[in-house]
Amino acid sequence: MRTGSVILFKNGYCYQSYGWNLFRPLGGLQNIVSHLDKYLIDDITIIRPVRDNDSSADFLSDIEELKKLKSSSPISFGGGIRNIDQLHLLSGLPFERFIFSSILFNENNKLLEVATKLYGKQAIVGLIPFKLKPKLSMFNSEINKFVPLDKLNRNHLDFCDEIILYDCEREGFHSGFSKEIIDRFKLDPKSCVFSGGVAELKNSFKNTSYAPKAINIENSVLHREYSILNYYEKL
Amino acid sequence: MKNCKYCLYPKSHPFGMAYSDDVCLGCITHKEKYNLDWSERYSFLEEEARKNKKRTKTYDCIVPVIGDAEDYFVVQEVLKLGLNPLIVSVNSYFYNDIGWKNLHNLITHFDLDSWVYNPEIQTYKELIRTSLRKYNHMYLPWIQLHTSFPVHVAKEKSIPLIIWGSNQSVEQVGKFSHKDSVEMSSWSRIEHDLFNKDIFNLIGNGAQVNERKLNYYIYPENLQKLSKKVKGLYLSNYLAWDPLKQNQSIIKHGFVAEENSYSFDPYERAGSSVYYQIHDLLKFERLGYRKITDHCTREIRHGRLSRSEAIEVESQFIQNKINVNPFFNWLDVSKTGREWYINHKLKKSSNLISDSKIEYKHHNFPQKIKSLLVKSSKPNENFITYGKGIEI
Amino acid sequence: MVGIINVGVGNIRSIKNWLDRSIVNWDVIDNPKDLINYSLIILPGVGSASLFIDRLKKSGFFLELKNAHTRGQRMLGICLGAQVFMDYLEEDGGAEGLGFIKGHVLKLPIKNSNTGWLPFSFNLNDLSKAWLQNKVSISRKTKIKGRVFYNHNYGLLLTDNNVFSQFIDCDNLSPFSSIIQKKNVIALQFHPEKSQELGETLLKMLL
Repeated sequence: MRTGSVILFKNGYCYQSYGWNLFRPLGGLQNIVSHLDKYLIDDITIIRPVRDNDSSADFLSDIEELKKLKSSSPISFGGGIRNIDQLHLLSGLPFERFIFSSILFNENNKLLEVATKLYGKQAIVGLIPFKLKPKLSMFNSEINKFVPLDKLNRNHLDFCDEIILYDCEREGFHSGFSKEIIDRFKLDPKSCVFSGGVAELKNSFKNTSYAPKAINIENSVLHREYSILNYYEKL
Repeated sequence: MKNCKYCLYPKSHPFGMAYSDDVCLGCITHKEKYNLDWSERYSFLEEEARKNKKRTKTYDCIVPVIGDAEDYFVVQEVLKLGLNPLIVSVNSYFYNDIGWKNLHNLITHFDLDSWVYNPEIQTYKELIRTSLRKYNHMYLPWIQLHTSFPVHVAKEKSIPLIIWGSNQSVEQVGKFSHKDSVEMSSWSRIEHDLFNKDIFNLIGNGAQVNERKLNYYIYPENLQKLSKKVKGLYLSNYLAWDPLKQNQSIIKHGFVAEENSYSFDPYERAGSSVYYQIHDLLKFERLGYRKITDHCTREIRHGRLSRSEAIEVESQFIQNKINVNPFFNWLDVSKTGREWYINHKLKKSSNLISDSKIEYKHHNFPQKIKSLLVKSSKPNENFITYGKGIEI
Repeated sequence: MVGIINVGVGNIRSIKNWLDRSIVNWDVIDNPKDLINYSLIILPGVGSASLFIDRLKKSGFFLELKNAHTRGQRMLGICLGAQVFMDYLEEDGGAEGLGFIKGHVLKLPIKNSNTGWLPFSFNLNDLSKAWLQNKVSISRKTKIKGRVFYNHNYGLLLTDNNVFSQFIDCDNLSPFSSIIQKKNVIALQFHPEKSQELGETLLKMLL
């Protein structure tokens, strides 16, 4: 099971998010990534938390900043990739995989087809932010709203090599990820990445039927020097 | 985006500001202090103390100190936890006579082993000159040492714990929740202590220094590969942190507070020839605010000043002038060099510079603040260089 | 000098950063005729096989790589770049590769991709003289052991027994190769540029 981290990046700066509502500043991207490299993180997920408040200018500006990033770790990137022109801009980035969220609620699959052609199926990752209370719903970033499960276009999930299930309510907490989401979504956990309240749950997932392909720790990955069980300890 | 409707911090705060409904995260996070179960949080500290007691043949932990009031409080708390600390200090060469007295009193009053590192002064001054030229910051070289040398000692002597006082990124801007219990890390050092400028930014085209003399400026590598990993904790995550009250309480240990022309607070960084002088001037030049803003914001949050009272108190200090000549003389900068620097690099703050000695002024503060202040002393001598010959 | 082939598809920036970390001089090769100038040619590749091969052919690199191979120039293929060195790639209905290494690129026998870290160990002295005699001494290390990062759906299935190769260290992927070396060509299925410490050490060993 991979142990990765989530970094929120917008307008040239990184943020932390708690409970999907409260943003705190975090710092400069290169310093964060350089330290995650040193900690031997398994992979880094950079997300632009733009929701319905994005523009072409902001997207371009963030892309130009991201091009300068230097890292020796695998990186996935997403947030606001919503049209084919943007797909072509991604080829200059030092990243392996790209994350799509809003498109999973869309009928048009052209974006995902082109993305697969350009970058390969192994590079396509879906992101479904969800909450369980008061009832199960998922977050459609493009319209900045939680929507019911039946709005998910399951055909689009077939384009995705992995799916990040992001527990919005537990975001920023050290534990509490809602494992029952696997049964509710009827997904194979081996294709899933769990995020939101997973930091202290790494060991409890192993060797269970819920064991995901990976976990992505938000916020707390930088809260202490040895937060990541690095490779040397795993040996 | 508006500034916070409660405190006085501007958006330019170097740690980064964030807001929710016109209230900054610093103010929001401060409110956590009134809802947390501090006895539960303290028990975590007790558990850490228990785990680290007598793990080594020498010391249970390191306490890095400057010798100001917060350090007295930290040492007091560390001893309460039953730990045997090694006191570690880096000579900044900026102490006045009050500063040296407080540092030595700390060590002798609590009767503790101590290491004071005296960096090679020519290299140190060269780095300060580069830091001034490139970044308008004179403290970066000392901060690099202060945040790195204790970690080297911990690594070399296998001491598993370093205990710091306040985590300023939590206390000032609420960058993390208290519940995150954020610890010391190489990332945080670069982000919050060094503002993304490590030692290598101060050499090369800048300072002409021998890199062999920079060992302790550089954070130790590969700490995660050590069998006994060094952990750094901040007491402010485990105690209901209130600096003014805490600092008043440690006077009984012989700490000497210093009269301050630039803030009502006589405790924080008492004994420094630069902290409220050139350093404060440069802070204003870079960020547009001074230490008095930090203190007023702190007291708003602790309920001892209303916002309007804080603005009034701030106004009593914020225009106070600073004589920068002693610092440039200490730095071996010529008169023309000093004038060049003032004319080219201190444009925003030029009206705050004076050529003459500053007279201390007395002020009126609200009673809630006054009741926590003590009789303070004036320094007799600044820039006292111990370890490289005594000048009295 | 190391040259990185650019056909607009491939993680060039990551390769550049990888070479910079090891303090290795590099150029980006946009013109196929310039291949002759480089002591080591790196071919990175991402995306679908058919698009990548199409771009190599249209740009003229496909033919010039064959010429470079005939000249004995050293070449390092990474991920899809490594796959193109084989005879045949099954992806997208099938396509002919450069044929430097006898074998095929077939779909992995798993539901999704092989994405993640797997153990990898390597002894430089297992490589044939054809690679070693042109080596520049940048590192004294001859052995490494650690982990490398994979991200692929198709894998290298070797049919030539007279070459150096190692299998991917994973039970259900064992017929597929992680590294193949034949004369002046090395194919790496994993991403050394994103394999942290081991990736940097491996580069210095191979140069």
